[in-house]
Amino acid sequence: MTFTDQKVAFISGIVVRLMVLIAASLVACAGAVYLFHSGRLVADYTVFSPGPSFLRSARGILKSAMTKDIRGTMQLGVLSLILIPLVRVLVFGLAFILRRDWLYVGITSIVLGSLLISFFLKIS
Amino acid sequence: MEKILSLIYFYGCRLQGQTRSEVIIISILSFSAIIFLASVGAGLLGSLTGLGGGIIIVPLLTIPLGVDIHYAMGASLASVLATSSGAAAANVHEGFANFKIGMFLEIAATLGALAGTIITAMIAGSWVATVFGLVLLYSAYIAMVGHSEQNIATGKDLFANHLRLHGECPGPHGPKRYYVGSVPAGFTVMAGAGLLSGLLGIGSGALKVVAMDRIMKIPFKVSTATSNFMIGITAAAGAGVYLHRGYMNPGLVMPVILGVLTGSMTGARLLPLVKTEKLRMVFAVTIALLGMEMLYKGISGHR
Repeated sequence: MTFTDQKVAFISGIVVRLMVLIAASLVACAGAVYLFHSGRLVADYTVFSPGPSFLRSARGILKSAMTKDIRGTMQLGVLSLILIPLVRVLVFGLAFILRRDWLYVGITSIVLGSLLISFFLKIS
Repeated sequence: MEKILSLIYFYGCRLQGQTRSEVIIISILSFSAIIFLASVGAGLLGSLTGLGGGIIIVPLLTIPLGVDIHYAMGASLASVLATSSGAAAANVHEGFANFKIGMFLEIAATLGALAGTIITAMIAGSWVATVFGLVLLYSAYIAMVGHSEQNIATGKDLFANHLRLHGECPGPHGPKRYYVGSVPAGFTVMAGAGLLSGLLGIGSGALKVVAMDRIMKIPFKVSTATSNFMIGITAAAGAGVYLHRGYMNPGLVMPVILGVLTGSMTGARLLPLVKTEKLRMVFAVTIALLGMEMLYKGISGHR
């Protein structure tokens, strides 16, 4: 079986559709619960503060989503949204490997590499 | 309704020099509802004009709603991720996108985005606002000019041949072959687009389309479809840092991404029914005004 661009796009499209559905429903459901619980509090986004550290790392988000913090669940939806392009790049990378198109395996690896750097880059 | 009116009143107060923090009291529920509706509008306009919603989210949140620019950038970057993936999910075939071009140019864009996020972490919000104002004015110009049928690339570009970038796109009489030109120039502009993306929390889709359509002579529909594939990856390159620095506040991101997703998916359905020329003008004027306000805000913030 040869992997034409159209076939790869179709496969990655199906994967993306599934992940968007998961991410959007996580954000929507957790958002509804959040508004129900905290909707009457005063909104204040005028001054920036980094906020709790558990909402700012993948491990913290996973941990707080599994406990009771609803903001953690919302953030898990946001995190899965961030991971979708990474998955798309991976799918294309795999397809290039199967096609033995080493030039594009190299190009995709560079893109994947800089994405991974950004996920682990900590600027204080 | 009452809340919206009071918001306009508070905005008036702020124009007269009063700071918002001493006048505004609004509940998270009403605030989320306002932001959701505004984001639906942004997503609708963004997808109808093909310029993306992200560029309008930041000024919308910062100027009338008084949100800090860093929160606004985080919410905007999340909305870019939602738009890009949402479009891919809605249309799994993506007949027009050229993934080889997209992947190759993403080398420049992701590295640019990385540099942009590092810079944005080190400079003051007022500088970000100033650059943002200029980018908005330039985008207004792009929207005003629209795209013209370009002269076609000849297929002699050395890089394009080596990278096998030329492709085929669906045409009225079956697949049509097209050639790609000026790869080094396009690659350089992509690095700039990536830099702006990381710096400002936008997808810089408009600039990406300019690079492909006008510089590299790629057909317009291929350019926009490829740009949509690219903006998600560029945004993801900035998102890790934004998340870690706390720019993505879940309470604010939630109504923005849900609104933008709703708006852009509705927009894609409405596209064949709407005359986009007038909408482009409305969009151009809106972002030009927001750009000037943003520029003013940025420059006065330096003092």
